[in-house]
Amino acid sequence: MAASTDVERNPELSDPELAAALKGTNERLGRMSALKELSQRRSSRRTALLSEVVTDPDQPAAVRAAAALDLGRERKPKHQDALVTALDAPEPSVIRRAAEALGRVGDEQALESLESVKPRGAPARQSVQFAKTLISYRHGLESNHLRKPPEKELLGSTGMPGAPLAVEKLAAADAARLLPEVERELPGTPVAPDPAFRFFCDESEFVLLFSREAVRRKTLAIGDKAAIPAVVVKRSSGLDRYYLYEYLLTHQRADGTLQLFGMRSVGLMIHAGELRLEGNVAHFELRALDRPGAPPVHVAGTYDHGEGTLAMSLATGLRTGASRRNPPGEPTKIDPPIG
Amino acid sequence: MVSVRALMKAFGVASTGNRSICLHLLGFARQRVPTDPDSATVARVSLLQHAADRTRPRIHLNVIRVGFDGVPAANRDAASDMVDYGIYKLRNIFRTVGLAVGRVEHWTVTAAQANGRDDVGSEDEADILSDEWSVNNDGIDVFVVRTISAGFIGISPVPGSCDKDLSAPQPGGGAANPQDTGSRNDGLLGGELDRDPEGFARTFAHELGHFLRLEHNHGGEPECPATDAGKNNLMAQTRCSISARNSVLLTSTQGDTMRTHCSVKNP
Repeated sequence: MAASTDVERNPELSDPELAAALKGTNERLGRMSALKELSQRRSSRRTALLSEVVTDPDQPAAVRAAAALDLGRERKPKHQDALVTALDAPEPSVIRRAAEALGRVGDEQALESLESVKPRGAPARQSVQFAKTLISYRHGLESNHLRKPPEKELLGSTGMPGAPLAVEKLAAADAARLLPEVERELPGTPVAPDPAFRFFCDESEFVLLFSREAVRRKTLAIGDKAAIPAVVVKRSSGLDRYYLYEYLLTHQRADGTLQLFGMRSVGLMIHAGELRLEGNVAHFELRALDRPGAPPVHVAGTYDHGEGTLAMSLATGLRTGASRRNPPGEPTKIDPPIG
Repeated sequence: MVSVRALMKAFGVASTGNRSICLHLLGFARQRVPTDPDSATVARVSLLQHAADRTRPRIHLNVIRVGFDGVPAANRDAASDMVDYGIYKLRNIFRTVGLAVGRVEHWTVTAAQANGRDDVGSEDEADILSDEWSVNNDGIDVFVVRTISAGFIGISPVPGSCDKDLSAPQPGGGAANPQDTGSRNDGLLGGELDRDPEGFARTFAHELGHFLRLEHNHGGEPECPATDAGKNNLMAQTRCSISARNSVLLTSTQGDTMRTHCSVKNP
């Protein structure tokens, strides 16, 4: 099923009026609303305005954080400079979003800056760590590799073959239509419109896209160094709107096996497994982690780069013994005293 | 004539013990009628009208506040008032098409528990929030967060799922539902605190409309409805609406559609 959003716009405001609103001098339009408007429009002043907000210590933390997030939608040197400056902010929320943005667009210099950041609070620390991971995998570096989770954190398997999952290869033109929105979330991970594969899971539509680097040659370029060979995007509102759901990352262990990981966009590991290459054919197997946010499935499949085909099977993961940790948590009920 | 306790019982609200009409029957967490943002108007509720609602199909809500403990103490009452106004407005909007809002319960996830999800920066983060938290009852989980840093102001699956019984463990540790793949679409993001009350209330109702099967009444950006009637419909995106306060109309067809959703309970 699709998701649909509510959106507020203020297109009647000029760029100078937006700039004034970002400074908090527009009585009608708050800074956050001004920022959301700026993030939706193409403006020659966008980089300058966002960079100004991100590096301004007098801006409210929430506004700086949102501006940082937006700077992570395009890969530009000036964006990186502003984001690295924002890593010095006293507020963990600003550091968190600056780190996330750098994870998407940053290079090895950004990685160096991230190595020395030790923010307060788990969300900021997790974002910094995942940003380092993303940069390392994007640039094929040997540092900040993910670790295979212990067996007790993974859902088991029935041992039976899973049910085949219907996979449809998308025409390149169809895949190309969904790319512009996706590329805003993957500015540092160019993806190819071909091959692309669509599948459905629990009434949600997903598309598997490969990185350009992995598939641009006749020989599948996976395995020789750490990489993000593919991503999974999920359909949202409208006909052609998709959002980043899962990064697929791979690196080679010391024993030669290729580890494969599925990470949600916020750095939550949801799948772990292996990849095995036979020439131009990649066999993969992924088990789900037993945690909220991880679809409890065991996925196996084969991608044949020469033939351009993908076959997948799906099985429900099982946890033996104690009850699953996968279920969501229950919020705390508010029951105030009467009167 | 029906007693207040009987009315509570009719809406699935526990009716024994010390009860508050505003809190338990009407769902206002502050235990009073919320403040109307129009200073010239006083928000009013009618128990007679609410009594009539017991004969109508209804939805129940779990309003889940995420990270509200991080709101400065001086602003918390206003934040709570805004949420209550959203509930008040929702009831009035849905009532026009014969759909009642029954039991409203209030829940909280602290900023620490939310692990960053009190600020939603993308659709995937909204997705994860709903995956990580769920109230195990028949109410619709409506999350209200402190901030939405993404380009939207609310988001909901269309339609939402009623299948929340995914947490019941099975003997031997098997999944509750063999077909369950964990992509729960059983919650929605009703809004953020960084909005004006009228805008918040409209988005709150708009997203619930989506959850109950309603699509936008126009195409994707930059399209908007061609007529004022269209722009005044609740399911026009806020960017297309004429006024947050008044662009909240629903058609009888939309009401018919909403009432077919699995979360709607018949009296």
